[in-house]
Amino acid sequence: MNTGTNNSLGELVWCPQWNFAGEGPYTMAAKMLNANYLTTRYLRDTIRWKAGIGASLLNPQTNESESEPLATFGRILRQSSLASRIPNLYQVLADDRVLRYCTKCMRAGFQAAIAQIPGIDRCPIHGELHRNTCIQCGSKTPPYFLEDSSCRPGFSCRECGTPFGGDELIDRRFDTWISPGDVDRLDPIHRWLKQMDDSRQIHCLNLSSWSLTSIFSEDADEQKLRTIFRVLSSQSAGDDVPESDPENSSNIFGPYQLNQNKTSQDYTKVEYARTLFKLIGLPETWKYKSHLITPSFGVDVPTRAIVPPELHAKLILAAQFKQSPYTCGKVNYMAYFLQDVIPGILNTERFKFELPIESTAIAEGVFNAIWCAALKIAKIWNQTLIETQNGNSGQADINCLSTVDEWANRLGCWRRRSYFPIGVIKVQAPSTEEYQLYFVVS
Amino acid sequence: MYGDLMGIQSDTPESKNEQALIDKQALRTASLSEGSDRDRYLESHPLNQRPVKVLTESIKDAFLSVSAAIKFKRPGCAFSAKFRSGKSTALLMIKEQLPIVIPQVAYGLISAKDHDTVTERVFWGDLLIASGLITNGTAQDRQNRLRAAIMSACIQAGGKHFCLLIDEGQNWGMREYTFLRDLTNQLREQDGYTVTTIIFGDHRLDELSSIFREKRKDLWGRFVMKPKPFSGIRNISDLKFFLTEHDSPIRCEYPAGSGICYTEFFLPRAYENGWRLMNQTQFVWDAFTRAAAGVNRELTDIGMQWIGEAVIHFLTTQMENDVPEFSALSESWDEAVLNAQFVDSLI
Repeated sequence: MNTGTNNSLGELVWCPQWNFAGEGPYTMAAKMLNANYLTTRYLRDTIRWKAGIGASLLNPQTNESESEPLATFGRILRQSSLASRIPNLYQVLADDRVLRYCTKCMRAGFQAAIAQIPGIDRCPIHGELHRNTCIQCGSKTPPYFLEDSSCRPGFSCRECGTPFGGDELIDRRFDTWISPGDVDRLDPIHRWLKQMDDSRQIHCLNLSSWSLTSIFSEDADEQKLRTIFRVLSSQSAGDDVPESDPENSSNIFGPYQLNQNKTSQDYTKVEYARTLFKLIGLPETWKYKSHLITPSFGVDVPTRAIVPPELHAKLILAAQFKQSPYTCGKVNYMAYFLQDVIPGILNTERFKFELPIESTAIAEGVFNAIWCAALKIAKIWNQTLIETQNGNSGQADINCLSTVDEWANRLGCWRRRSYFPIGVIKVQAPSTEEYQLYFVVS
Repeated sequence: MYGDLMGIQSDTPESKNEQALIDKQALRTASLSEGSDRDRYLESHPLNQRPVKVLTESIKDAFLSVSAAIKFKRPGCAFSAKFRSGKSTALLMIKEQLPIVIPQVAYGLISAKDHDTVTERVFWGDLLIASGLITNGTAQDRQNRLRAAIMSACIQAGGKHFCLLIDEGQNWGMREYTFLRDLTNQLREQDGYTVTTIIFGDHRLDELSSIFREKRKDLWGRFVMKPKPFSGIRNISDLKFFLTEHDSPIRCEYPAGSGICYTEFFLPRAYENGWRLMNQTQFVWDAFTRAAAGVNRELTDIGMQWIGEAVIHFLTTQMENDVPEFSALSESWDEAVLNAQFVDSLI
């Protein structure tokens, strides 16, 4: 049946009206596969496939040998992907574990490629939150993958069948696949991302679930992506930079200029003494002695919520320096503190910071981050105690040492446990080759 | 003015018109003057291609019927065509013209295939192949893909109405038309799309219509109710209309943009001096009448194959006789009719 229409995909049912500027490969693949009643496996020869996994839609790579029309469709998918838009940054900004969507966009069968960036919390077109769960049953959205199964990407929840757009099932309603609205609103973000991609190199260290202050969080990867996004956002000003939700954010300290050619700034004696006192000076614990236990790792731990988290944080902090050969009275030279103590704390067996942490500003940044991490851990521990005392937690009795042991990495000397709750992000502008450092506590 | 003085071309509407006139004149000269250009144009002339698409009264009538069926969103209409009357070409021409006249409707053209036994999977597969689409999957997958293709075509046309033109409609039976009915029902009820079906077939379509009228009123009423006759040239008036088309560059211009009609292309000097193919109507009709009489037949209807071939043969053979005072001999038309093998069709 020669319809005489402009079908750019030859043997596949396709409509040029189904492809909008800024649209990502998820909805493009969903439209093509649903319109042609094909399973995802049909694309196996077009997109490079990992057996048992499939292909990430962040970076769908085409097999050039494939014949038309699939080769054309593979190129369309590729061009619409984040890897095509920001080849250097997509891996450190975007997530492919779950689909992220705006309900209003999905109503029109549209998902912007940039929705996969967790730092972009709101849809630039509608201002709606980017979600990664079903609005009805709360199940996680499907992976941002062409999966190695009979499933095909769709527009509704796989668990309860509720449309992501909320109104009606549009998987077979081809005339509902329309423009989601003013897609030009995506342009400023595209421009900004492109500019960042062209001008920034990012190196991350110790940004993982291992480095989180809480043992309960499951979103370490998302936290990492959000943090990097925030760091990049902080590097530029203007309307083009999207705002991210501060509630989901880590604490970021920086930027600190890291110019290796400069000679380090020395601490003054006063500054040095103040810093050491703040960090290492042991708190008065006698008042709460009956509410503290000393587990095998040798650092006092509160057993009742009545112990202020700030006090507990100081105990944790002091523990980090206790194990150092340079305790308060033994450090004879200020330079040792900067050159040996701080790197000594930072360098665990698990990873090594190969950064010249010498300047006052950077050392301050590290101090602040360490204090922030200790306080966060103490607050989370305090909250755990409250929940346990109220009987709202399913955990074992907090007095039980096994529970304390579970937290040993965080409550004891971090270095001895190869744990460190501070991540480092190093951003380099290739044009100037200048580095900037950020310390992150998640 | 300074631009003109300095040899710079300006972009005013007047200058564009002037340039267009110069281009048109150059095209005319290249097409009508003896030489390699004319030889090339002659080889690729529409009258030397197949099918030859020249409007006839029958095609015009069919087009108007089809247009009315679409405009009033009727389920369809059918045409029962006589032998070699040019129904396939007519369908092609109608399909090309409809989007210009009714652009918000999407159109598809298929040729119905005959099978000893037809399954649903085969049927949808045939339609997908005719559509140039992949045939992967089950019968249901295939049907759904075709449905998606129809909706996609409608989306591109900007409406919710699809017109399916079916050639050789006599090749399908109850089973195939039932499949088609189900698809159109689904499109209407589930998706809100209207499908109008235009069926062209040979005399067996009348038989099919009778059978459906007896046994399957639903199919009869929807697809093949009272097929309209479709003929080639029925009378001298039809013939005059057909020949007149050759004399006008409105629909019979070649090369495009030259303003040269088919008659002028073959006989430029005669045409310039006022000779027109239209004026040959009686001679042509008489030549066909004589040929029919030669085998004791009465001339009722001339299939487009023979009339078309006769005209092409005449124009081609008369090219060497092209002079301002050109005058056609009735023998030339006899020869053209003979060459078209019209008589063989009557025996």
